[in-house]
Amino acid sequence: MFKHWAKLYQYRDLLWLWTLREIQVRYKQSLLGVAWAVLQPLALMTIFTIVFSRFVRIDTGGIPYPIFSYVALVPWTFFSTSLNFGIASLVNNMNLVTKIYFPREILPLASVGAAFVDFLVSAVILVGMMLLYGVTPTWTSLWIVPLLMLQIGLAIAVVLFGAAFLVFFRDVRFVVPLLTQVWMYATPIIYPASSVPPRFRTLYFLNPMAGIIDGYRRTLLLGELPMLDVIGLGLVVTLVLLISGYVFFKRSEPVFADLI
Amino acid sequence: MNNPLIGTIIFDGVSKRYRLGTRGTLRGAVTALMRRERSGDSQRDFWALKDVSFRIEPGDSLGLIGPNGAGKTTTLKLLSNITHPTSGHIVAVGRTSSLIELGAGFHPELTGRENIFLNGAILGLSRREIQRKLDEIIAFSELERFIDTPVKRYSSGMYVRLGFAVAAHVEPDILLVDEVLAVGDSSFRHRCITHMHNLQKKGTTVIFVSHNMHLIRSMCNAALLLIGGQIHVAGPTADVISTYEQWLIESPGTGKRQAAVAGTQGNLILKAVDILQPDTTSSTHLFDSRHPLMMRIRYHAITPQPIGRIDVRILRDDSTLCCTADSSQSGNGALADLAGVGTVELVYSPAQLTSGTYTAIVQITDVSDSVVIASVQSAPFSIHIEGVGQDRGVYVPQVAWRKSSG
Repeated sequence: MFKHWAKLYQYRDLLWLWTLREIQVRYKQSLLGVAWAVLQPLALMTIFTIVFSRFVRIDTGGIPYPIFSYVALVPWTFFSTSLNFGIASLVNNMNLVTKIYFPREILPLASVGAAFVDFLVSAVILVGMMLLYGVTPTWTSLWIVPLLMLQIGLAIAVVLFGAAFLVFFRDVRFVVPLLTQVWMYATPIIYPASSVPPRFRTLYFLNPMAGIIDGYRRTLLLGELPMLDVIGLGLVVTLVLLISGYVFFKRSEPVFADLI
Repeated sequence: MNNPLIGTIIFDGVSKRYRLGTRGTLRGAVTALMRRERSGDSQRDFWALKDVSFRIEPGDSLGLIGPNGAGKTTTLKLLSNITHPTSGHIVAVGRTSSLIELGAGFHPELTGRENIFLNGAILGLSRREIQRKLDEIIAFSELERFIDTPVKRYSSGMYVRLGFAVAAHVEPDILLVDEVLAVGDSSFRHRCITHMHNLQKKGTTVIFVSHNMHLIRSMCNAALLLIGGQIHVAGPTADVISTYEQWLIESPGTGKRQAAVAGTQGNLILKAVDILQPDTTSSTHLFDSRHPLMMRIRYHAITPQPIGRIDVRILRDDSTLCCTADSSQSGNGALADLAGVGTVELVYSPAQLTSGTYTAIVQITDVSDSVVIASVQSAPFSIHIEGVGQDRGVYVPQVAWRKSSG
């Protein structure tokens, strides 16, 4: 294991440069450039606001629906973008994988890194919206740092599993959009976590994203602490997934070039 | 730091199996899983390498030759850690760099400069190392004017030049080269070869895969002939190459010959090679060794065809390669391309061969001099020379005897 870490450390510049490449390439030829990063959560926020505060009323506990959903959509978009690009990263770069050796986890990690840059851009809009809606941040806002780290850990875990799986089974590609969609509904983005029936609570919060998204809302908008039991559970689940995902990835690595 | 083993390569009983067939889908996986349980099914297995063992000392240059599918590229892939052996052990001490695919990881949207950093990092250089060598790399590629242009605007030659420039500056302990010099113009090719020679002088271990025997001869002090995933012969370059050339002749329909067959379906057809006696009209199959011998190669180039070279070999009936003639050594620029229907003639004066039966084989390579695009074989012809014992050896030299008594 330490051997792998040493290799990854040796190739740390590649991780950085490949992340830059992912970002540059994504925006270099698109007309709107960085605006794409903002557009997706903004568009979803608009449609959700129309549907869930006009057509169907969802009780947000007094929070205006646009910021209620946007504070969840920004980190969620980061998560789903990480999955989309990260899982496909190995197969998309097969010409590289079959020709040159480097620690393969760099490709999925760089996808998560590039998605993080998108996230930062759309987070600027979030700050603007918080000012607009007169939300004054309290010291609990600092919780977003550990929450983000937890989310990134989870994204890396899923991406490591998914990317290696996709090499073995090409049809996983079709599962990814479905997975992110189902996962979104299993996470309190459209609705508040409080609307989940108590008897499903434990099952519901086995999904670490549920506690994380709920946590962003509490700490940023309400000045509350996240639900610590829920975050603790999410941490355990994430760590288990992260370790097993990494081991699975490194075990499969030797055959990637043969199968891709 | 100065580990005397750096540059050593050891292959110890290395085998590599590829599984062929339905893979890559969940459905395929289920069937594969069921197959594995009845592990007797080995029909879909393909052994790219079988029990290969060799050792290369630091600073050696090994030419890896053999027909297509012999396992040359697999050997390089194993060495560069891209794939892993099914059984056996591989030791490669030191930093390994490969010229298997130049410019791998280049992104068309990024500029030459950006791609240098990216490609360098893929090859294992740190940003600082690349920064330090940047000017040198750009100068080597001769792309100063285009270095801030996206590489999608590059020609394929420029692409390769940039790729080689980066790869060449990795300063590896072990360098793997796989038929990459087929592209690029001859001056660039020349610089690449000079550069590799310099690396060799610095003590870099080089493994060189090529179908170009001239290159192998000039680059390598030892060679290894792989056939069907196994070592056929290993040893001094010249010996291994001549074994390979004989093998090519003895086993029709494989390797280079296959390429030749494919080539005849292309634009250049070699209709025949006739053996004649110059200045006579009589047709014969019996020639006097002391008289000139002429070969007339009749070709039909459907479209004008630039060529690398025409290679003419004479083989004795026991498959001994007796001599070769290479048009690129002739200094005759007219032989650089062929158009329409015509003939190429060459005269051996005199024939100088010993008594016996011979065949001539003509091969024409493409501009890159790496692929045979057309080939033809003559009808057997006989050489005769008066005198006792003149059927021994390969040729009859013109000798002058002298005696002095002191």
